[in-house]
Amino acid sequence: MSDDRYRTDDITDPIVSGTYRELADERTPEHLDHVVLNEARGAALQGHRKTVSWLRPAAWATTIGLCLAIVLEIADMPQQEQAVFDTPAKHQEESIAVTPASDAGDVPAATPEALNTRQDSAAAIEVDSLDDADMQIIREAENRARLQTGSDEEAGRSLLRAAPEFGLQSEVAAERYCSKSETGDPNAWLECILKLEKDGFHEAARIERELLKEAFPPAEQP
Amino acid sequence: MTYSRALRLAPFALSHFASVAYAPPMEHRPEDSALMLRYRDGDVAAFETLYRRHKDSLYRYLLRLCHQHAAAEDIFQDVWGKIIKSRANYRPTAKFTTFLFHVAHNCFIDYIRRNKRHADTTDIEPDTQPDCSELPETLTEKSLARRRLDAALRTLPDEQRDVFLLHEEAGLSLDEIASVTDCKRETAKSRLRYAIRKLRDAIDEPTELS
Repeated sequence: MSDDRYRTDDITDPIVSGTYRELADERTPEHLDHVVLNEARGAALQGHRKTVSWLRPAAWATTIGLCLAIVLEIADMPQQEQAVFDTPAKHQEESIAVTPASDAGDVPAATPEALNTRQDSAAAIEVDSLDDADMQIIREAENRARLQTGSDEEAGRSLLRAAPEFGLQSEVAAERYCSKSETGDPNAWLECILKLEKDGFHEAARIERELLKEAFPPAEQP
Repeated sequence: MTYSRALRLAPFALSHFASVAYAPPMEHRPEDSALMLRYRDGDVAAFETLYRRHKDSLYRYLLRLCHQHAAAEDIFQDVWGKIIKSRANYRPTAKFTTFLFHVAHNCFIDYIRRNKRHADTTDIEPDTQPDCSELPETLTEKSLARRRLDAALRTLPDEQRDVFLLHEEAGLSLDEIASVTDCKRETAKSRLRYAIRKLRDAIDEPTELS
């Protein structure tokens, strides 16, 4: 009951109200309760369905869009990054292929397989530790050698020559820059070193010069 | 107070204090508008609470307006159907009771317009018609007064009955009644005064049994 009517008007008759209260004792029939409450539940459920009806297509569209984006991203991924994914297995193969040759002290044969292993080795190095600047130097060395010699074999060798600059793995760094026939004769070896210096491979020349000093002490040098 | 008397009273005292100590906290009675807003957001339980709170008063209001059970039930469903449909646009600008009975009032008027013969028929509790010749002698003065009131309520003009029922069943103030019935406050006040006077006269009518 509202209190306003008692505050603003003095119309209420307590006898009439009391008598009416005793008279008016009807209750809502149960079947009406069921009808109304079912209608209310149905309307609420329908409203909920309306609310979420756009969510399902939106979810599908989002999922399909995400899948397409991932596929396109993978398709556009540079070849280099693909090599990164393939690296671990190839790196192991490279180690197996290169290490025996190093142990033997021979310059690796300039075969396509050897060149491939060298490229893979570079990729492995990239994965392990090299940053963009190092990669840039390696590429420059490769390109420079390719331009100078015009052969992929020399490019691979130049890559190996550049290895000590970046602290490459020991077996790679242990590659020799002068052939065995050259290192047998101090004069030929020195010519090889001078040729390396002339070609701009100063680090390789330095290494070969140190090896020359070890193999032929200064007194024996011409 | 003797010791024995204190012992006799102790259980009562303990139970009294226990009932106070362990009395459930005061029941939180959410506002009607809050319940309606909750239902608007999908809470069906809120609507059930709201419905159970107002269903009987609304039903009695319609029943006494229509004098027909079937019509009252039809309008009752119509009213709640409109309340349910309007939940999305519901704004608690006024008391929910005012909103509910305004809808009910409009539904009743629509029903009257659709059914011109409404005023000529009635099927509500025919056995309660005040027929003094059939009343047993044991009938108390109180029950006689109830019957007289019921009869007088039927004979009231529609507008006066409407205002009286809105006042009694919905508990609306004069301003709210004026808002529901689309009339001026003074008009509503006048109608209510006339209605109550007639009903009081009917209750006070001397019995003819003796």
